[in-house]
Amino acid sequence: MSDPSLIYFNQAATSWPKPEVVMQAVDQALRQGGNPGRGNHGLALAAAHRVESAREAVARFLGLKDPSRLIFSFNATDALNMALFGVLRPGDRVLFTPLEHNSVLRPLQVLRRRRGIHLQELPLGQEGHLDLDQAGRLLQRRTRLVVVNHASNVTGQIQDVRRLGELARREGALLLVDAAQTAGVLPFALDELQADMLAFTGHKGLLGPTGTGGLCLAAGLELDTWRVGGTGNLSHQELPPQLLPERLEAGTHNVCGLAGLEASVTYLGGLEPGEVLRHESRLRERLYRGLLDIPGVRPVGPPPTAASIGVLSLLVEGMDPALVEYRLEKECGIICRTGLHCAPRAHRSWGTFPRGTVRLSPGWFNTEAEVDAVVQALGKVVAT
Amino acid sequence: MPVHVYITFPSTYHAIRADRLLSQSNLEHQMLPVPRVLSSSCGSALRLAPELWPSAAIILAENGVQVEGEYRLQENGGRWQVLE
Repeated sequence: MSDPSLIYFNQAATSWPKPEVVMQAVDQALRQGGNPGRGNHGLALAAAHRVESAREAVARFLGLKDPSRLIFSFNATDALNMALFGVLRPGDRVLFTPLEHNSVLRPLQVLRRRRGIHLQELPLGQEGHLDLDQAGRLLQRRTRLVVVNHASNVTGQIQDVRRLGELARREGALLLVDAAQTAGVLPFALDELQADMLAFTGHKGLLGPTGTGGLCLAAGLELDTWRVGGTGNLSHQELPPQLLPERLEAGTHNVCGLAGLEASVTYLGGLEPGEVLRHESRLRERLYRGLLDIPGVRPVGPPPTAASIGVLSLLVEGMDPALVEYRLEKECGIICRTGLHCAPRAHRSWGTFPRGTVRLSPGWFNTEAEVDAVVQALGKVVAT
Repeated sequence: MPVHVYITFPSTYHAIRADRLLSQSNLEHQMLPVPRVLSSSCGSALRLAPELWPSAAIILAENGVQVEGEYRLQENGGRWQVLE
């Protein structure tokens, strides 16, 4: 049961509460047991069915035609590492945005040291949008990969991934989309985005359990192996299997988590396309406008009407962001997050590095009444 | 003893997909460990009556399920005898 005395505005970290059907599915899978592919008895087969049923459901939800090209991972970070270590070779040139999370920035820096890849940051235009003209020019130099954050976990701003994908494809570069904040919120399909790889997590907008996520791969793209080990089949071979998804999925799956993830995408699939985004955008805009009425509070990021998910950063004049977070919880029962949100370059872009911001992130289960309560509470915290 | 068709797969993914698809089509079949006489791959094999295999093969092919091998086996005193 969720705690009704709390207002949870930290959905960008992990969504909460979860739909009841998700908890039921996890509970049922945990009670039934079994390890997929490890044995051919009823329990192992039932567990394998859970995994493949989840794969089909998530692939369908994300618009991926061939489920074997949906590689399950344990979170978006895991999927991004799989993608980056899987495609980048010594000397490759990579373009990335300043809005990337450390789940992209750190693997890229490690690969720069280990494999001598070359990194170049794409510039942002006015109001935080990617400068696509400049991106087009930078892509004219031979580039292996472009990495783009679909929506910022600091400001909520959505980037025009499709246009970037078209530019990348025209110049023969691959496009990797970090959809950690957008899967489940924005309606999209891998093909429509012109993306070659898309990494997602299950526990944020998809409303599933932690420990789930995946990487969608476009047809024909092959990755070097990332995590290798037992797959339950071809055990006589000392090298990993060639076929997807097993080639990239060594070790035991998070069966219970994936059962929950299937339940959550089924739940989301029952909503109108774009309904979650419309809801989050409404809440964000209401929040943004409410904050503008509080003296000393400054929203950080694009204007309230910019295409955004339910994420909003702010600063309070003369008050440490950490104290704002602490007081909002202790005095008002409001949950939010303070700091750099693992995206240091995004804060450099918005002039909030290294202090960071207070981030409020409402989601599908939040209401306009909660937004109003948060605005009122923040006004009280600022005034006293 | 009856003769069955045994189908092996290149991966667990394809074996389970086959199982799901044939169940959805109400084609009677069983999943069992790959007989060691066929392969040491440790995966799952699909067993069904020979007369059902042509229909099953079409369903699997239409859905992109990869088949590694197709065998006719007869169980005989605790062992499998490969007929072809």
